[in-house]
Amino acid sequence: MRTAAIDSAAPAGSPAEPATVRVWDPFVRVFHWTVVAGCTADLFVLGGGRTPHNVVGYTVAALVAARVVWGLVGSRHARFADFVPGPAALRRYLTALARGREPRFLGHNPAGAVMILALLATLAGLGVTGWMTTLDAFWGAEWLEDLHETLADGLIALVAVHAAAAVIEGVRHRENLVWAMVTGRKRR
Amino acid sequence: MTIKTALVPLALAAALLTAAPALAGPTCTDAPKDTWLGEGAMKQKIADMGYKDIRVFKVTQGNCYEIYGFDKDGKRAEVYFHPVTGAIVEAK
Repeated sequence: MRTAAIDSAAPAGSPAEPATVRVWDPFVRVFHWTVVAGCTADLFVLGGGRTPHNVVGYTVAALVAARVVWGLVGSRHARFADFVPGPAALRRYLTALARGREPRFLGHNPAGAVMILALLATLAGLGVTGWMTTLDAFWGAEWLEDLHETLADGLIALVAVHAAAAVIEGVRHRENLVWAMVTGRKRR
Repeated sequence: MTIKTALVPLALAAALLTAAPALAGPTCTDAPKDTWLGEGAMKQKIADMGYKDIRVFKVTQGNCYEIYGFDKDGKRAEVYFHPVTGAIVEAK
């Protein structure tokens, strides 16, 4: 709606430029919110060790695997090559962040990229340890359940920082980053 | 949204992480320990019931004996026993 209004207000002859651009493709968005829903269900609703918990867990694990593939072949801002920083770029960003002068990124910023890798790794670890608990070989292995639960606690902590950072970055750059993950669109 | 909104997920996570983990498993008895079957007797009873390959044998916070093992059909079994009578309280 806003886009249309701006377009119609543009002087005749100027190129019609939408105010927003698509950043997150449909797979990225569906992945994001399905993983949110699945993790919420497994963490707080579905008891561990039962079939629904496992089905949801494997679904999330499969989505994570698909996201990793999509990170290699997907749309521009979905690709790891687009957002995973080297150590130097990360250091530069964090230094700027500490001074309150961090640049805005259309895709993930370097700190967000590290968070995404941590989240993906934690989810993968949860999938693997969860599956291991279903094997007779690990029946009764309390260290494995403890590890699975520690990873789950770690996930909660990471998600809290991730969500808080999305809000803070959104405020600092005057955009709603949570909503952008719904619509896929961000201001240029 | 304001910066304060960012506190919501952090506070939520802190609350969730500090909440006491739900105590799993049944409560079996308040009877004093000297009325309990000894571990040896309990293990013998468990073996007599057909459970085998016991991986874990322990006393739970709910005052039960609990095992992780396999039943006579070789299926995984997590079983709680009443420590005085030796009867099965819960099997899953």
